[in-house]
Amino acid sequence: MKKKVLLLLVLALVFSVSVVQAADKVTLRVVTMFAGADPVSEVYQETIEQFMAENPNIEIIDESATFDDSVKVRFENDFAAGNEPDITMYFTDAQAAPIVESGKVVPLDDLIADGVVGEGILPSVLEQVRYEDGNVYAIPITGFYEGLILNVDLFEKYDVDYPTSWEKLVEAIETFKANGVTPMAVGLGIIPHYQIEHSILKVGGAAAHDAGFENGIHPMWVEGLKNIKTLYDMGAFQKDTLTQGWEGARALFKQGEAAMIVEGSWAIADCQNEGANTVTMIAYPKSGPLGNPTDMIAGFTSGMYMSKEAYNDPTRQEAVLKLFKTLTSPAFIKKAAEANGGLPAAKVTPEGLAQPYLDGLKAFQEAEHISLPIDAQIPRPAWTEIVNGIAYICVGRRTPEEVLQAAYDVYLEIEGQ
Amino acid sequence: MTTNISSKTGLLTRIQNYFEDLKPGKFFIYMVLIAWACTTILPLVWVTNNSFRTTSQIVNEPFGTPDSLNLENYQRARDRINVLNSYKNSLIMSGTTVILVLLFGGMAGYVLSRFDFRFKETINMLLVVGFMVPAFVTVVPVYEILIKLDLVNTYLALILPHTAGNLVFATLMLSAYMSSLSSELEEAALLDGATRWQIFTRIFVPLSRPAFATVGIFTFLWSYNDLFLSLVYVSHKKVQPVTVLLSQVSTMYGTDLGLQATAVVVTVIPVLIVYIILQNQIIKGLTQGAVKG
Amino acid sequence: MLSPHSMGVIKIKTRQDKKIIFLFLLPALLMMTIFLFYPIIRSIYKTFFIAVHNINPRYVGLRNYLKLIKDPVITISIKNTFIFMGAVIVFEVGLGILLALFVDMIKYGKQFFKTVYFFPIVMSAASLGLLFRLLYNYNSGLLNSILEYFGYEPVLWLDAGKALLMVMIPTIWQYVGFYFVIILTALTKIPDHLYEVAYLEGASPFQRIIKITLPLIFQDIRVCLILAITGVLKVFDMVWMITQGGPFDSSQVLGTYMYSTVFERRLFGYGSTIAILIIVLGIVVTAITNKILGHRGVTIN
Repeated sequence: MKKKVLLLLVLALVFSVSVVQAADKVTLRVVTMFAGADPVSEVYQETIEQFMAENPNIEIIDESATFDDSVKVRFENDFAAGNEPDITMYFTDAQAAPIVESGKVVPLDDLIADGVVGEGILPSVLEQVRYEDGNVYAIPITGFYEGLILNVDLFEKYDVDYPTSWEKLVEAIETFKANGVTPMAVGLGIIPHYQIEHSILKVGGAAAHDAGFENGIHPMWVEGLKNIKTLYDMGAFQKDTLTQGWEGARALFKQGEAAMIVEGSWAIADCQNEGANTVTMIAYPKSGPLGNPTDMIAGFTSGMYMSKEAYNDPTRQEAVLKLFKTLTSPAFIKKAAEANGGLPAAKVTPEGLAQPYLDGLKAFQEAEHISLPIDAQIPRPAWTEIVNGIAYICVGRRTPEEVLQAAYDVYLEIEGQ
Repeated sequence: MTTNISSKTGLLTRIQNYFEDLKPGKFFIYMVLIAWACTTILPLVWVTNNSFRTTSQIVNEPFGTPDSLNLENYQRARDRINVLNSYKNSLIMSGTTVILVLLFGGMAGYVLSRFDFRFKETINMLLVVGFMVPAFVTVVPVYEILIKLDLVNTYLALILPHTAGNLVFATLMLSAYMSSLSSELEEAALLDGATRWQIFTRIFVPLSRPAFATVGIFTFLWSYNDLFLSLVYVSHKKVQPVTVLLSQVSTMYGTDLGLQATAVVVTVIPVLIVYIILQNQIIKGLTQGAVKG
Repeated sequence: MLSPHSMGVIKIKTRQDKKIIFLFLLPALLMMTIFLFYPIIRSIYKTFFIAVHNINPRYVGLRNYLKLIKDPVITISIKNTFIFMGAVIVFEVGLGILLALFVDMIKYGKQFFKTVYFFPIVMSAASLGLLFRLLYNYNSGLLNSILEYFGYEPVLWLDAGKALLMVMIPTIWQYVGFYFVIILTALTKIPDHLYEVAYLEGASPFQRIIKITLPLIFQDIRVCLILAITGVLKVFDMVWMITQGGPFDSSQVLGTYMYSTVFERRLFGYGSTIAILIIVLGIVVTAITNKILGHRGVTIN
């Protein structure tokens, strides 16, 4: 028995050192979100394999993963402890702080200006991912747009106009309700959901939506949250909305039991439910005096970072730049956008997109103003406070003012004021 | 032919006799046991069933049956990860964890059950504290240690934290089991001049075989099922355990319910095998036999 | 036949024994110190800071502890956790013991029951959570489909009044098998001749259980209770999969609230404070349990 134990221990030790690298090869560690169920993962794998075939002296260790909590923990600590990957795809919004402030990623402005990286990337896109210190650290691949996804079959069946205005939205809600169809699939109980930013944007306008907490609580945020309660009281949402999250809402829409859902471009394919539903996407209707019917929530909130460690290492600089350029090239961006239906970050036109994506893109191009979602603009703890308050607001247990005050208090606390 | 019939009638009589012997109490016991078994079997049947269906079919009819034996989900699982290699990784990491836990936990459990000493209560309290520590508290400091020791993405990166984490349960369980074992043999062995180590390995380990098997089962299960730590400590494809498949079915683009069911089936199989093997150790009577031998 | 527990314990007599105790405990304590106790100390330190995303910590003194005292969700979570604890003791451990005693009594199908009762434990919480969401679902969920079939109105199974109950049922159901296996293991150490003697003396099965079985596995039951009670303080995955603590925090327990504080709100300092609360509660409740149960128990002689 004892001998067996020792044998196995030795075996474990032997195996554990088996992951060593060949000395003459340049090794690059890459982490992206293109793994598992992500639609881009196939295109990404092909690109990586092709790159390795063309560059036999470069070995790529791909640690791409579906981004969940544990992966975020890994990233935040890899950067803190100096174990960062050479190329990392990560968020560029309020969540980027652990990566950028570790001081371990290369600021890209000079390299972009010199034409070393960022070939063909749209300047407006780079502006969106500029960090609060004034530098660009990441090059985005694809972005998204959000709006109201409609089940066209149901709209045709009950002869309802598309909800392009508040009046038409109310009319649609009444008609669907009368016919036993859930008007809007929404999960207000479990985060995240997209109703909040759209109600605020379409009630208060882009300026109000983008105000953040720097100057206190914007009064239009209160009105926006009140608008959600109005819809709830109207019976616009699914009956179990307070006990559902986005997955429950999406499942109801997929079953063809709900006529509308507020979602992003990433959800379009899923909403079609393998062809069972015909869908389209329009801009969320103007819902208050200051809203603009064409405005949309859209943008780029993730991108590729390059580590200083690899870039400043003369033996690896060439290799890491080569791979970084490949993964941010217009050719790769085009393929990625075709796979996930997102907005390309470079001047390319994705081909072969399905009709709902073309509808959504058209709405995006017609938008007068584009805003990043609120959760990309305010710190996560404050945002979560608002999200968790929505169910309370809908049933009247807390007022929008109280919820926003609580969120603002959290904001002040973490900003150290 | 005749033998066949006779054995059949033999079986029938046996069943008939059995039901005649069945007292109302026994009948009630069987009813309870069968009722509970239904609740535990049906979910696994449901998941296995769904592993042959597409996401759309599951969404539209969550409790429907498959049209055909559709193996598409299994092919997709194979495309997504190297299933065989991941099985190997899982077995090496969880297997080594089990051995270390049984060895260290057995030693600690023996001392705690058989000796009285000054810090015993303190140690018992520390065990409870150790049991309460949530994974998010340990994940960051341990990850820092693993980075410093250059162990990230090696088998030890998961083996060591899992051993520590499961030692608490192992020590508690084994010391509880040993504490009510007979002390006759032990005293006799002491008089014969046996060392404590000999008493531990020759008397207590064989006597506590069922408890070691149970602790082994749960240590294996928890180590094997721990997705959270494995995604942090062993993210490299070469060392990834098979449960990683479970994390690769859902993104904001949608949840692949068919693949999710398949991932459950694929990951459950080795645990059930280990359970059935080790569970055969949990049998009454082994106690006496082991000591005689 | 049965002797008091204390007889099995050896008082330290020699220096030799002290060395043995030290050497036997060393590996376990070393591993636990590095991988469990050191992280706890680190996390106690963190409770004095505000650190969003676990970076740029800012010292705030006792602010996180004051917040903990004033936080209404903490009050709800503690209350729910203790309700959960009661249910777990009675149903999870209770059913585990009952099923183990039953399986021990029968002749046919032992192996079958032992195997199938283990199924729920091995299935991932994600898949079981999905299953129960589909059972509870308002729209075409299995329970509501049955109600509608018999002409009743559909029910909102996960509303604020029922959510806690609805997450307790699957959590308890999943872990009954765990205690079943542990008790079954404990039963193996009772030699058959004890039962035979009792049988000859004319004891009924019920008497045998009370007089022989339960006293002999008392230490194991005690461990089960401690595992169950401390386990409840950590309950998280099934609740998270089904309700995420909602609606209106009605099914919030300490485990889910800690998780959402760390991973949703990304407040590491406050999350660590909740973790410390959980550990302290665990120690207190275990101490009380031990006090109530005492260190009774017998050995086989």
